[in-house]
Amino acid sequence: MGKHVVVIGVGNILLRDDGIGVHVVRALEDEVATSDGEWVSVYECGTLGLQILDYLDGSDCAVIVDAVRSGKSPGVVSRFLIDQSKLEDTEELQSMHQVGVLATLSLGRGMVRLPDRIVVVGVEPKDVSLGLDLSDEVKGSVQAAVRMVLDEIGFAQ
Amino acid sequence: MSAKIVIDPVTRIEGHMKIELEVEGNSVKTAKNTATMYRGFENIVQGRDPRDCAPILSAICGVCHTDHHLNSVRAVENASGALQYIDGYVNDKTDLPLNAALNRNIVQAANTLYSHAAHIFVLAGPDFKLYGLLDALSKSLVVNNYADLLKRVIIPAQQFMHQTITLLGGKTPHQRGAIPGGTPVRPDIAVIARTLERFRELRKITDIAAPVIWNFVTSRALVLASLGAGTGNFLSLGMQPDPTTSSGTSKMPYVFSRGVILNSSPQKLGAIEPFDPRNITENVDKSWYDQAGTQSVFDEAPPKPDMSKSGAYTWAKSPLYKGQSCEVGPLSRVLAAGIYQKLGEVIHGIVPEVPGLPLNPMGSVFDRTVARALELVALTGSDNTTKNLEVLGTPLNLSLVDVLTALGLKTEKYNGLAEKWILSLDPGAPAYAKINVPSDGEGVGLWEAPRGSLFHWIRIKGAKTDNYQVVAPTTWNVHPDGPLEKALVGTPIDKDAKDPALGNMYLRKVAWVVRSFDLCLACTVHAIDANGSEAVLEFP
Repeated sequence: MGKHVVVIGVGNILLRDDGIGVHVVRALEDEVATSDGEWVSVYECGTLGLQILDYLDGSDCAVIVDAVRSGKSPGVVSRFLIDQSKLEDTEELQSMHQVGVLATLSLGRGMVRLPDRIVVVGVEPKDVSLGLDLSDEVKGSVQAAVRMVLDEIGFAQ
Repeated sequence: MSAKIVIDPVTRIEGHMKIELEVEGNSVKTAKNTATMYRGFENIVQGRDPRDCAPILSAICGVCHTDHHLNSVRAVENASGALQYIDGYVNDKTDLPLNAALNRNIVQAANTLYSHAAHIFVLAGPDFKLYGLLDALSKSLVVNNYADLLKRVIIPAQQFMHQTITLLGGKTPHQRGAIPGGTPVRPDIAVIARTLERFRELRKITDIAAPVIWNFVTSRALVLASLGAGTGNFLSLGMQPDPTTSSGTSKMPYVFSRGVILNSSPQKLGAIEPFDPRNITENVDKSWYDQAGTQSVFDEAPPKPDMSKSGAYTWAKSPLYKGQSCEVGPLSRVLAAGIYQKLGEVIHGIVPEVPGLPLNPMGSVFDRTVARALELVALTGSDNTTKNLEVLGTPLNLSLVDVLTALGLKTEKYNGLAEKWILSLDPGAPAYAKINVPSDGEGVGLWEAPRGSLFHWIRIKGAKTDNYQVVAPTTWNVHPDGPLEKALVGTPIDKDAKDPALGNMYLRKVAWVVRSFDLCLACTVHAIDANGSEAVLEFP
């Protein structure tokens, strides 16, 4: 049995570019094939929040695709390795809704078996207002993000 | 000179609400609360198969999904004759198998516990600095900070209850297991054992947390009982019908009885009277709908949204019982059942300074908070025999087990209500009986969601849903001139007040009052325009 890789797309597709993670994993469906020695699970997790821990639990490597603001130009795709030792303990929750990815991972430590390697593939958003369609810049980056996820899956195996 | 304070949105409630306070001197003179979302679900189900209403209407809420689902199923069962309200709406009679009735009680208990845990810990908890739980738990558990509390107490408590609903209802949120007639899956030994285990795991948590919360709240009983007096009218549609008496499913008395208490005074609780749904009306004079006046909830023409209506300020209609605003929720349930008064007698016998319960017959932050915690323990049961409960800092020499035993909620046969129903399941026996949905008829669903009374009504014509009516719990609590607005009036507001344990008290008492109702305004459709401000969808 090979390593179990989990790819998770998160974001709210009702808020335009915020939903890029979901759009990327939908595009991945056509690309990811399963064969001997490989085990890749792709999940569209939308705004599940804390519940993404169920999908990460027990996997060997996780790739989380999300909109990430890092001050670069809209559509730029970046890859971050999560240093789990540096995740800060969660402050008081104000709601059980809308718990962000980092807070979720932080909570996950000690609750579930998080994978050793967690990578975030982030796409710089342009417009996170109400709407179903991606901005042109971000739409143009879907394939680049897909390639980066595939690279990462290859790396893991 | 009066000043105005607007809190919008009110955070740490379920859903979206705005509060406007007019402050004179150091207290609230008038209060207006606005439900800032429109609900149109009754329009969606018209013309559909009555059996489709439950899965659609469960989407009204992300917390009480299971209650909307079950109560819609009950309304259809009532229309078919399989569910009857007998003895003047005091008891239920059902043609469903014992396992089906038990399944629903367990699911109701699990969802109530899920919701109460969310409110006590996450929503209201921070207002009370989490009742000193961190200090208390650091001595007994591996809990050193808030993150540990989340991981080892708060999230597991909710997780166990969601797992229970999934075991018996197929999925959570929005279980699909209940259909008119019961549930198609027979409970087997494995499911029964796993369900029992979830409640026992939850009990380990509540056994540690509940005494800490109880002692914190009762140490501040005097101030908390002086805050949040409501209408003094309490309504409960009945929770946990008991199919295990000698009458079986042909006559199910409610553990938390169905009943109404009207006209309490600050000195005395009103008498408990039987409930009759024909006494429910709805008024829309101050609500954004195109109608005016009061009409029966039966066969009401669905109103159309109208935000231009003069004098209106909310989407919430005003449900009334005999023309009066009633409070709903855990306090109403334990009062209508007499369980809370009985607890008061136990405490009064030990600490005579405590006159009895409720401390405030008009309702209060104290009484609502204690009632919710009482339900939590009544449903979960307890193994905690440490005599560590106090009132006003005075030891009661009582343990949680002692309290449950005195209230008849722990016996030799069972420990808490959930366990009673689980142990009564008949492994392998049917949980479904075929019933015929009539082509023409009407049915009522009476049920208690965690936050209070839930009313569903369906009219079926030509095998389709002709008209539907939902009256959701928080609508009772937040409508114009309703319990919450009343409870806010007189609340002290002091910019400079400080509390040695809690810090800044400026709007804290307002927060206590508002959150004591455990509001949930999600029963609506929400519209936000592209500029981020509130907007109204155009309905044809």
